[in-house]
Amino acid sequence: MTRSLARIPLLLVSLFVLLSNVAGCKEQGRQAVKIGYMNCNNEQETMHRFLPLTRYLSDKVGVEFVMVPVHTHDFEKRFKEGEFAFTHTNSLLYILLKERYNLTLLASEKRGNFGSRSGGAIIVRKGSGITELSQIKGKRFAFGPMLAPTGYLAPYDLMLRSGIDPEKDLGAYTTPSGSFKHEKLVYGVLFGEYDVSAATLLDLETMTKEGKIAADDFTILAQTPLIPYCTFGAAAKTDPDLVAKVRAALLELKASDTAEVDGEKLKVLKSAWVDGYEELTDKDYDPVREMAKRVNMPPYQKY
Amino acid sequence: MKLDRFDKIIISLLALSVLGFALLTLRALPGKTTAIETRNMERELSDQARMTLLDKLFSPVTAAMQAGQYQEALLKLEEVNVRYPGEAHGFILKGEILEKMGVADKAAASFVKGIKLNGDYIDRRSPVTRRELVGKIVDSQLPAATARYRSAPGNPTMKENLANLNYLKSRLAGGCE
Repeated sequence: MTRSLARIPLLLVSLFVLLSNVAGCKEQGRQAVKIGYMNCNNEQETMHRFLPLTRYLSDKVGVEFVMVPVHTHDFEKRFKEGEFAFTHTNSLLYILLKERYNLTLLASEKRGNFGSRSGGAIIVRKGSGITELSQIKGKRFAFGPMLAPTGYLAPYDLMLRSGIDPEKDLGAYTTPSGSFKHEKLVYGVLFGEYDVSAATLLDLETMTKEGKIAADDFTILAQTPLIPYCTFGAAAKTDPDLVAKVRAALLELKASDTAEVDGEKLKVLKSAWVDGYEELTDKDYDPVREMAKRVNMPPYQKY
Repeated sequence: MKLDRFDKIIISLLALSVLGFALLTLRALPGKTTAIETRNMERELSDQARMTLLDKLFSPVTAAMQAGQYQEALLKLEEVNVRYPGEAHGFILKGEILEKMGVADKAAASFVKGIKLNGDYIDRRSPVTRRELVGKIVDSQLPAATARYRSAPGNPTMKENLANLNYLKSRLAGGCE
């Protein structure tokens, strides 16, 4: 009896070690998969918007997803090195990764009046005296960042198709520095830093809704065709079953779905400023391809 | 049969009751007609007041639409929607603008929201009716939307678009909410 009692601590220690091993195995079984998110305005904002979505995907798919905010210009290099299994980028970067690395299209983001599509506009301050697109020749112009589909590519293409060569016909053109470049394009025109700028329709819509600007502050001289916007993709080597599960989880996402971040339950779509996800086809991105060819931009750039 | 005094009193009282009832009925009839007229007038007054208010609230939007400045019209609509986010007229105008911009699927979705809130927009007798435009969208979009859905039945967006067009079709046919 005394001998049996003496064995109890030994038994408990053995059990503890066994259970720890089992738990460790489970933890190891939950693989970490990286999703690269292209920064829109800045890294902090990207984390704030998409961490709940990443947690939601982990919960729904049963895989440990890790979100990685990435500067637009570093995206291709890091993707090429195999850092990300999944990507969240704008439509131009999607095409670049599709053409060069066979990225798979997963789902397209819906936001604002036009759902999964948006456009660019060329705007001036109301009362500036400029009422037609032809009058922007010789003026100070501001574009969005160079890889921005609706802040740069589409407006640049629109100008070329309207007989205005931005390289020759504008007085000067620039891109705002630092973060929140898209809002700076709008404010820059409002406060007179530029005569004309390229603004995304989504930004104009959001800023009007938030009361940052009034609809009557600007004249829209021209508007580009609507093109797909933010897009989720998967690297070619990513497990097809996992790709299918992530796509289904994105398409099923509802306004009421929540995820836990730092002990707080957050609404996933509301946090991400997104209305939902839609299944487009790669062909739906052809208008972006045509624009990139006309503007001589990657992945079709010719020297 | 001989009638005694008591019978005569009862017959007189009965005759008086019938006469009184007839008089009351005759007096009540014009009153009823007046009540119906009053209700009609109240409804018309309410409709006109609503129309006047809508015209005033949404006049910047309709002015931009008439000038062909559809994007400006959408932005002006956003401003009105901040104050009146659930107003059916806002959804109907948005549907009209999106249809003009060639975004038929989103136009149909907006019409569905507006008509679900207020059936007057599909009623042929209503002064705010958009029946003709809704019919045009359904006729032009439904065959293609059906074909797209059949080619990709698992695509929730195509399913939603088809459901919206079918909803509008059923309302045009007289179906209720």
